[in-house]
Amino acid sequence: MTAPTALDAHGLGKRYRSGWGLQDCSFRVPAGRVVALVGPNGAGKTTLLQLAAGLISPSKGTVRVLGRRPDDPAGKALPRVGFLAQDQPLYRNFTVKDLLRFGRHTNPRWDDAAARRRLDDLGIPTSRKAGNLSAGQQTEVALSLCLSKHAELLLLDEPVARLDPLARHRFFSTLMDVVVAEEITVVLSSHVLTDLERVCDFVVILSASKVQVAESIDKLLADHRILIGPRGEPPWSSAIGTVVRASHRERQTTLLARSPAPVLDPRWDVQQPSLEEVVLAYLEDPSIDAPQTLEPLEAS
Amino acid sequence: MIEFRLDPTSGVATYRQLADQVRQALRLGLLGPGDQLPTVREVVTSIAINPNTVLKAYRELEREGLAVGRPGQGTFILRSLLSASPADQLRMRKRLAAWLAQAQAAGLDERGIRALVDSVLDAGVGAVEDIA
Amino acid sequence: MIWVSWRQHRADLFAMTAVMLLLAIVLLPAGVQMRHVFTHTGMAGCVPSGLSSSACSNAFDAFQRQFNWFTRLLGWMNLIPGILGAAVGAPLVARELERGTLQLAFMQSVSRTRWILVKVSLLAVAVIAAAVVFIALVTWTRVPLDRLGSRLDTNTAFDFEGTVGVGYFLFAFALGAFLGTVTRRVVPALVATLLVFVPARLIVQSSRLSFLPPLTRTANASILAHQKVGSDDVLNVTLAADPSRYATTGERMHALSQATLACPIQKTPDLSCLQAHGVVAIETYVPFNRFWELQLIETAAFALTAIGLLTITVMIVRWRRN
Repeated sequence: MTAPTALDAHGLGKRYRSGWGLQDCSFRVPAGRVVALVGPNGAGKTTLLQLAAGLISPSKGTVRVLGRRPDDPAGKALPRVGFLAQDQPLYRNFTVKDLLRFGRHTNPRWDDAAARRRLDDLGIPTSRKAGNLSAGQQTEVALSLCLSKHAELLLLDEPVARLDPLARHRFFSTLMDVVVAEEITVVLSSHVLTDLERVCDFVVILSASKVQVAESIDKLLADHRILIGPRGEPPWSSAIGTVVRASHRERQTTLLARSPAPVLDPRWDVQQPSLEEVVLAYLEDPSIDAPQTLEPLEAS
Repeated sequence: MIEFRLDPTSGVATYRQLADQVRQALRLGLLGPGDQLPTVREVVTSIAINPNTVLKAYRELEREGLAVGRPGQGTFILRSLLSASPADQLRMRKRLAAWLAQAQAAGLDERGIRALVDSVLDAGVGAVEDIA
Repeated sequence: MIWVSWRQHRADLFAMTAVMLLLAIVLLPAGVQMRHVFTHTGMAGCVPSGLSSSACSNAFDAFQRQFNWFTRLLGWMNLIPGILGAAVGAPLVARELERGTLQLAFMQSVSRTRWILVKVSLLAVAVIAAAVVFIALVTWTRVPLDRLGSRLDTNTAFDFEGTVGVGYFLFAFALGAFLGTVTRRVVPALVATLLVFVPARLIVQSSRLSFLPPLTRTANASILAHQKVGSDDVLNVTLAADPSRYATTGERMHALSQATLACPIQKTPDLSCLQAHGVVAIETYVPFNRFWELQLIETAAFALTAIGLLTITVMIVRWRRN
């Protein structure tokens, strides 16, 4: 039985010596989604991923992955969660073959054949030391380690930041293939919104250490509109919903507004925003958030 | 089997691009009834997009009655959008190529040609013949 | 898991083996040469008689001069357990912290406790093995010297023979592992380990003979004769007036002061001179057969500390999440 919720955070916070890395984060990610985690540097993306992975423990609040604590003393969470850190650490002295053996010895559900096949397809020589591989190959090997242990939840921290376009394409291709084949949940953080828009179907916007938005992308785009009309001032008519961002020219006002119902006010020209426009609007004003409409949990 | 492409700059939603490409292939006779569309896994591996996008595109085609999904087997084309036979299509293609050469020789650039074609299409084919 | 630990640390283990080989190359020929000189200068015959003849005395002095370099080398070799133990212990956790691979290890399905326990156990066994080889090499080389001197000798004998070497190696290893886990950096941990190891050894070294209360006895001719090729470690010698000859305190004090002036103690007390003044020499000494008791006490002290440090290290790795 798969848990219907892959990631569940409640009042999650993490304090460092220099301040709060994450504050009061509450959101839920349904299983089987590919989640885009976006936000400015220092907003807490890495902290959130590390908390979900159980590498660090929260100062406040709770986080559950696949229904369990990440540091589950019974050890039920660790085999099901995979984590790819920003700099893809690998044992540089180990050959790729050694790394596969490492995976085999430390994971009971290790799929060696699939790992070899995947690396073969990518043309990665198993006798080469990990430190001598290119950045793209290292990322692929690190990803393979996560995938071959049959993790059900993947947490990827800026996995493609250092990769050239071909390596990036291969990475996402591998990832999407596994998403189809095994119905896993993926949370990945990145700055490149175009990548995320292609590959993700759920978005979490993290800004100033807080969660602003946690929503499926389809719903987010369906609920937001660009409204273009004559120059105006707040307060806006309630018929257009909640204004997320307003910008003005001499005679024209452009609004990004959120409302579940269509806007029928004839004074406004209504257009569909792109994901990038919505994300940027929220990032510009960390004080706004979109209340999460939590999908009802499936009956088991 | 059709091979999909994605144009990220076109401003058109990905799922719609995929559906459009299927319709285009049907019109050109490159796909016909009974042909199988690529599996979700095949599409996703070749152009690295979210599987739900492919599912959305295929669902739209199903709604229009162009395709049908058979559980365990795949998604198959139901009907054709072919207006002309392949032989006719080939003939029209050759004549169009010849005409294009003439138009270019007359000094029309690509934009001019497209504007010309658009205006004739808009006016209706009969209207031009009236003028002539 | 054993393979993983081995693969991670095999460079360290090879380095330790290489050091032991190097030591063997230096020590074995020296040992052979020492034995050769020992038998061929007739020192073997000198030992039981206690060097009372001048021939033996001269041979003994010559022998000591010839192998002075070895005795000095031994002084420096005291650092080897500290350096090797630290070199294997400090990177245990710290290297993975520095390189970020600890995250990789912790995200696999094996529990942190099991991971660190296997690592620590494997390397502890390797360190103990190195200690045993080290002790064996030096003890074998020292055999001629042991017959001429005392195994209780600080810095050149006691510290290398018996079981204390195992304690030293383990202590340095555990200290390195602990400090590496706390400082999270290899080089600072290594340096800090040596900065603690050396003073700790020196302190224990200087106080070890008093772990058990020393004995006293009155010096006589045969005792003195044996001391040269000795065995018992004499801590100090005091003079006392023979109570059977002098009744009052005043007489005894007078006798003592006379004896001190007339019979200056050079290497050993001049018994006949002292006797003429009615004074005896009282030795405070540690008998040589206390060797093993003292060894076990010192080994236990270092080994138990090591176990304590390793336990704390395992606990930190298990519980620390920040």
